[in-house]
Amino acid sequence: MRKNVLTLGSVLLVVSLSALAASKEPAKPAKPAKAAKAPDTIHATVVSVSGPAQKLVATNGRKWQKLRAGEKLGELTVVRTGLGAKVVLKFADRGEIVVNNATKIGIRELRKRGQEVKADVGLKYGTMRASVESGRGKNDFRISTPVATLSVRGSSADVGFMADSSRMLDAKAGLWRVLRKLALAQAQEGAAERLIRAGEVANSSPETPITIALQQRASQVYDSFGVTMVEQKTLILNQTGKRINNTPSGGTKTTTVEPTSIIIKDDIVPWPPWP
Amino acid sequence: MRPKRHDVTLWAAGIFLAAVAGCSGKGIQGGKATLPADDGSPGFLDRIASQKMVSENDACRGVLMLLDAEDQPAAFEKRVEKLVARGILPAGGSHDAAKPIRRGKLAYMICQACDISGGVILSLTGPSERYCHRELQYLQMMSGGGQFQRVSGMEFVAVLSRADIYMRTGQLPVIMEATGGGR
Repeated sequence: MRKNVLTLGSVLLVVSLSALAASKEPAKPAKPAKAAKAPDTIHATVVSVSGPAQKLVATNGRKWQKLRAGEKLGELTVVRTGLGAKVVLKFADRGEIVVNNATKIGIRELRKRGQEVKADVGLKYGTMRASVESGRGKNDFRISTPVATLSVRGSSADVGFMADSSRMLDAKAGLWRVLRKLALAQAQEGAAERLIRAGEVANSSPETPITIALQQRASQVYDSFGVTMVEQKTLILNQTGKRINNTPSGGTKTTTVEPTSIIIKDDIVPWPPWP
Repeated sequence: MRPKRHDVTLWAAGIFLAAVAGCSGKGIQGGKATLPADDGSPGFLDRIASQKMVSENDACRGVLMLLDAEDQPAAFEKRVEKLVARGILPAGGSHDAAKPIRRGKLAYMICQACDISGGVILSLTGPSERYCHRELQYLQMMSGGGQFQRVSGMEFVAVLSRADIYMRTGQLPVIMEATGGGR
């Protein structure tokens, strides 16, 4: 019995001593919460260049340089092509853009977070073919024209913006989401988004071809002096490359809502100021 | 009642004077006008795209770039001479460096540069601004509108890029078609 009491006492002593020692130890700093990993900036690689093509890097002032195959292009790089030109850009392992002749594009954003690649390419004028692969991970791939943003997760399409045509997208594969900038700015959710499937062609205005043709004619008849600043603004507000003045009886359609994502400087720009 | 002899003479004199007056408008205006040294066709297109109208001088440079991929810095009259010599511009026409290019005149130049033979009328009567304009609308290379209208910078870039593709492939991809043309 006595032996048991002694054993119990020694155990208690040891426990209390160790507890005392533990209380004297400096408190360990709490583990910091795991910070969200910032997305990595990645580059687009110039696979091939044929014909005259130039690039403008944001950090290099306003000096245009000849574009060469093998170069790596980062964010805020602008590429413009001339007549007879064709440039192929590879966006990491996710997508490819073929920039056609007489086209000006800019890489607004190109980042990778984990397995997700996010790319935002602005198209000022011209056409290109965009192909996005979804097999290697999640993609958020956008092409912004002056009138709409085209979003895709894995597909292929010809994309274009020409001031005298309302044609915008010719989907070759997959599903494209078309976000109309004005409708977004006006929070018209139902009208803001259209899904375009493979084999479908989208004009920049969700109207019947005959309506577009009539409006084109009306705008041409109304004004023969080219696209002025007011017309450019109206063009944006009407989400089309052609409805410059869409009132056949004359006069410019006016509205007080202006898309906030577009900056109007000296031309139509889908991205803060085009160099 | 037969017309008197002096009436006929007066009519003939009037027609002669009208013809002389008409001819006096022909020739090259602003022949010494030059253009900024664009950085090749990419720079040229970029500059033009921001303009609200395109001058005949710029239009000639654009067509020369379409044909030769370059345009040497030269005066307007040299460009016109080159284009007339190649049959892109009609001989004896009136050209003004500062005047905005009309859609009909641009269509004539593009038709000639792309060697577009056109339909029955164009084949029978030869190239004219009116029918070249209509032909390019039919081919979806130009959008709807009148032949006397001016051309905006973005429209010029669009037409030039379509002509470039047409010259190389003989057709236009769907995405490049000018919707609402004469088709």
